[in-house]
Amino acid sequence: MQCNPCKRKRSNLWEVMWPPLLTLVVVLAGWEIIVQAFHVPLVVIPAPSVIFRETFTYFASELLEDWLTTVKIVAIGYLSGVPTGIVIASILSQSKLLTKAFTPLVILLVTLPMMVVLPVYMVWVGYDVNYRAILSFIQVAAILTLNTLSGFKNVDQSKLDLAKSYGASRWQTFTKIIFPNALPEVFQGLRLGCTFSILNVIGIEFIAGKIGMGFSVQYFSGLLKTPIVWGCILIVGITGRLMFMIVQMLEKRIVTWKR
Amino acid sequence: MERRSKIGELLYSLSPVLVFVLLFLGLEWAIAAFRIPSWLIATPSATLTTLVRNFHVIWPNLRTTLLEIGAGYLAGCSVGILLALIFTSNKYIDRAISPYVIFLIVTPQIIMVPLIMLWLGFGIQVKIVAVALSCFPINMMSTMTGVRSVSTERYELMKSLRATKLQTFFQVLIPSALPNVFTGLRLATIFATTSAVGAELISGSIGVGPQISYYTEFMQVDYAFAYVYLMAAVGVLFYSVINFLENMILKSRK
Amino acid sequence: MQEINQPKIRFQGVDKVFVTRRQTIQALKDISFTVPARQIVSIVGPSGCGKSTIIRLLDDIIKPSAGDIYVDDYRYEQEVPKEIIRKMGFIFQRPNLLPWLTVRENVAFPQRVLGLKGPKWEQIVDELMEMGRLTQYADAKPSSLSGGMLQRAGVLRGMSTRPEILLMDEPFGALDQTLREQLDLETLSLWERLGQTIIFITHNVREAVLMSARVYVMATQPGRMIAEIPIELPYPRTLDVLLDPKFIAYEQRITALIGEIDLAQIV
Repeated sequence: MQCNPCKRKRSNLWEVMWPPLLTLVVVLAGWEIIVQAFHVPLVVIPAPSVIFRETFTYFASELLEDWLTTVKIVAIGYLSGVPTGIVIASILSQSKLLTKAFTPLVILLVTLPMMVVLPVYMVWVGYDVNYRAILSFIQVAAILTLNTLSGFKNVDQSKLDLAKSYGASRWQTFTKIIFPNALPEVFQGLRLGCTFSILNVIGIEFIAGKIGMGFSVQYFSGLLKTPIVWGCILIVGITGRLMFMIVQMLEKRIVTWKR
Repeated sequence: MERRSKIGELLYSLSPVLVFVLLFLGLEWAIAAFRIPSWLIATPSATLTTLVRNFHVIWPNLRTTLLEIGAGYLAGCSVGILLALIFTSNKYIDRAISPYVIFLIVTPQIIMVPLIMLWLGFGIQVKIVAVALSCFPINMMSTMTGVRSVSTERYELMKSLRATKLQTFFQVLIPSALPNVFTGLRLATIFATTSAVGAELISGSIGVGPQISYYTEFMQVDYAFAYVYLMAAVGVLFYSVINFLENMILKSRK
Repeated sequence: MQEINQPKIRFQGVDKVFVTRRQTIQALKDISFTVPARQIVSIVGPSGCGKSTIIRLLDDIIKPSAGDIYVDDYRYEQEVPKEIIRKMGFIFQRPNLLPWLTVRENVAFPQRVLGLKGPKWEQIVDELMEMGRLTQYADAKPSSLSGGMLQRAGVLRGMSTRPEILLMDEPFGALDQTLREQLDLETLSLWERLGQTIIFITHNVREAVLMSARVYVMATQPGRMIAEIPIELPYPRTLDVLLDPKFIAYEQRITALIGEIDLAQIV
């Protein structure tokens, strides 16, 4: 019955890894073969080999700066939006009236398709690249506020009673009980925030142009250089996946009591 | 004493409306006080006036966008849920697919719009496809999570009763996964509205997006804001309707 | 009652080996026992001794590696016919009710799956609800019931297809002692009216003695039976039986037996 935990872990990893790797291989190979065999035009769908070659060739000279800009804007919006949302939720949660009064506004900001504001927004802030982070900031903050608030609401009454019986102060109750309890939902907000911050930044880059991965997609598709367009899409996807992975890793570290 | 608490209660339940009224009044006042030019921002009163007076001009564009959102949402959600059910039916397929689902969710699907345009042109179908593309990953992930979280005890119950696969599917699996399915449906509303307008801005001449662009360019910001208000309302309404359905159907379980 | 000596369930040298990719686990080794009709038999033992495996074999959820299983003189084959399986009702460790159905619908759920319809079956559900004192909660959802009521509903569900055999897998293991004993007695009174053959799995010695006419004690690694102890206490039993010196003697004897196993495993 005894088993070597180390050995087991490694073989488990392999067990988890092979099906997705197989998918990757099958999809890429199938794609390549179909495109080659049926002579699919480059404009319709380029073969993966062409995509990788072209993207690799152009990355340093054309795409690197765009990618760095996009990453920077996403990071600014996300990293400023997250704490703002949590702080706002913490303040609102102190009063039932405040929570009730502001929740609809928060929902409005979460559900508002930020794209509609874009044209007007461009007039306001001009074309300075850094301002592009503001829309992401607003939506990420709103999502975090909403999720954190709902996390606060779901705290078990018995735990609050327990804290009371130990004579915990309001601040202690909040930091030791209410906030840790809300963490799983805060992390759900963090994960959603990844998606929406990237979505907003890419959207702005499409409209505002000049620089960024959204702009590159627009630009290269205008030149009918579809392999690079696909490359850009893949790069954005991988970037998002990495961002998501960081959040997941943090979650595993911090929310240790779940599962 | 009694009356005061009643007033308090009324104030409490009306507080969200008050927030919006104060916001509007504040904007109205600030725009006047700081003499912000009307081509930069429209006062709420001007916006609402335009919205009401010119609704016949606004409506056809709004209708187009709503159609894109509706059609894309329906297609995307059903494809997402269906794929999730297929993929989770086998352990290995599930493992092979699931790492890529998150990849699809974090990649903003509007990035595909230029490619979709190369394939489909400029018409409404581009936007419908874009909306569908943006709705399907989140539904797929939520449904997959839901199916995976069905407890083994429920399967054992069905097994001990010698239930058929179809019985297990319809009487245990679907109802068990329903809360997660609804989470996907609810979040997809936000993706749908955002992607519809985004796709319109990138690719089109029809719908709300280009109208906002157009009016902003010609400095008729009150028109642009009218569309913004409408789309904000559409976003909240769409989300709320799904949220309401969710609560209606799931409330009895809590 | 004249059939009391006819065996309802018989295990003959049953082995169960679980083979995973990395290891083989002998879950059960040479299990043989007989349960007469209308009798309650308990199986006690430490966790991991394979006591739940026994009833899963009987319910044909898993197949034995060797040996024979009989129910009413039918010998288990690769394909166990539905008529045999339908003689059995499974009661789970946790209530395992479906939250979207009402309490009554949950109790009637096995009938629905098996396609048992009509006033006769409706009446059976009504009677069960009455006996389990859940009639007033018939239309409530499980979420509004207490833990004890939920578990009671779980027991009733196991009885709703009128099974001749009940397989109870630590049904009250998660409840506190007072509630557990109350539900034990309720199950006994249901049994006295309906007269099923019951295999009762538990790790609680007191509960095992209280319920059954016979207690089998199991040990782990490999899972095997080490003792068979007939409990000679008359039915119907009440809580008074807990104070009976004979009861206490049985309890101590079985506890000592299990203690010995634990000790042997530590050494």
